[in-house]
Amino acid sequence: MPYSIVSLRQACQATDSPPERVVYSTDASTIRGDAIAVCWPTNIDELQKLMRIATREKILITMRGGGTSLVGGAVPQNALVIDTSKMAKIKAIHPDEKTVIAEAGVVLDDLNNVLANYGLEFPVQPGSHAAATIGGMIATNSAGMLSPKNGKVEDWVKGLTIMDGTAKVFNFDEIESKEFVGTEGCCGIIVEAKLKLKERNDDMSTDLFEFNDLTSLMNKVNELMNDNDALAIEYINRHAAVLADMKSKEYLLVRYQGQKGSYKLGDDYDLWKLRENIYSVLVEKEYPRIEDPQIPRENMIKFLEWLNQKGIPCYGHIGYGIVHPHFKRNQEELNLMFEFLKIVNGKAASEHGIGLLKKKHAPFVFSQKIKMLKEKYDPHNILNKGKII
Amino acid sequence: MAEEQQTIGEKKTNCTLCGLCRLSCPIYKVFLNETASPRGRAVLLKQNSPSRHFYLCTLCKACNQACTLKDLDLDEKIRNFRQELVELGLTTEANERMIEKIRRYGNTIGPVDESNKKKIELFCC
Repeated sequence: MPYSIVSLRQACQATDSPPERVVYSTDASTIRGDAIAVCWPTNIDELQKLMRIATREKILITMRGGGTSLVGGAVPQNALVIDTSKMAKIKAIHPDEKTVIAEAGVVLDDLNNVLANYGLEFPVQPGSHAAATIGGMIATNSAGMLSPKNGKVEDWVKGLTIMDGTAKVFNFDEIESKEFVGTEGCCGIIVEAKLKLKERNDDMSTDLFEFNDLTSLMNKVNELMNDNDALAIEYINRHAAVLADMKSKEYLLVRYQGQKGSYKLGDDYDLWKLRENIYSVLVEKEYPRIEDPQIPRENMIKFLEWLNQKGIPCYGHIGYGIVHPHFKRNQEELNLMFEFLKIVNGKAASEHGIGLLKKKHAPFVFSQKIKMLKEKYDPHNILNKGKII
Repeated sequence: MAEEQQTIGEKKTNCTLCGLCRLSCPIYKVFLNETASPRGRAVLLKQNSPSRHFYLCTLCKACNQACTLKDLDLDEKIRNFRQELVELGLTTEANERMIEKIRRYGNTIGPVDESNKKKIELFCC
């Protein structure tokens, strides 16, 4: 693949030094790739210059936001990595119409800190909110703990500015944007987004429920799903609990709007910290492979019982039907789980995307959509080549 | 072909590479380069890969505060790795200049002008 770092530097800051290539060959997943160089455009003009060079010289491109993908979404395969960290301006806030225009590299927590001054927030909060960027969240159609009430990113995008694989720029309206959300950087580069916002809610409280059996736990989940005040319903199974130094029980952690819960906002910090940290605790304890199956609520007990019988640690957004079982490296039960998911009508991939790791589980309709969009917007097949399809 | 990280390099840190510490790092905030972030240094540590980025760390421990693991202590690992780098002869020019000046002049700055010495008055609270 012919390319010259000198030509890339005509467009923006670029390097092909070994440490950068090593670091940018990884993300938060267990996969490692091969970055040929790294670029940091600071605005749309620099990005366009860069993309013109890439198109001309047939350089493969992998976009990178917060690098928090758990499926290798930001891992390059003989590709140039474009880091959006320096395209991170909040361009306009419209408090009256509750919208914001933000560049792709804006980090969610930074955005919400600024929006707090206007009494507003972007209400989709993935666990990686401290590092996740707007561009990455749109590319993967992020969900999170508040998804039972607030939905996914696709519900909050009002418009997108996209650069395609031939350096052309498109401004999409809400309907066109929706089609582009969740395409994992395979069909175009997200440059900036107009996002819908919600009024910020600080009137919240939390409860932690312990159960000995899954039937009473699911009865509580069903009850909470009919409770308009329940914003987040998070589950931790007994095996994950033990690894996180908790008692061997089934747990529900519930965030309420209003003061219904026993822990007031602030007093519940440790509980939510425990929930947020559980991913790293399990990875450190040799369960590095995280999955994100989505199961219909009527079959959830069957699925959770199966995981418990196999001794698989698991937690997740049970209110949204998404849980996160963790597996050891090359653990045989991983493939057994994919088989069992067919029995319980579950989806193998939900909120983490397909990336490199879940390619064989990409739904047929979704793969076809990516192929169709790729023909239109990335005819040279340089954007995130090898991902999804 | 992608390969699993466990197969590469020496395991000098248990960092899970979640990246949630990135924005806590004052150095990352200046450079906005992943290699200058705590996670970037952890990747380099895992691969035993010498780099000037280890010398950019201020050892401020902000990444420990943001870390989702107890006792990861990345700053300690970086400090230890710097020691290994020096033993391998991989140090920075600034450090070498400083060490040379300490050896020659007994201070980190350079020769002291003896004629000015008396004029210097030190004040102390």
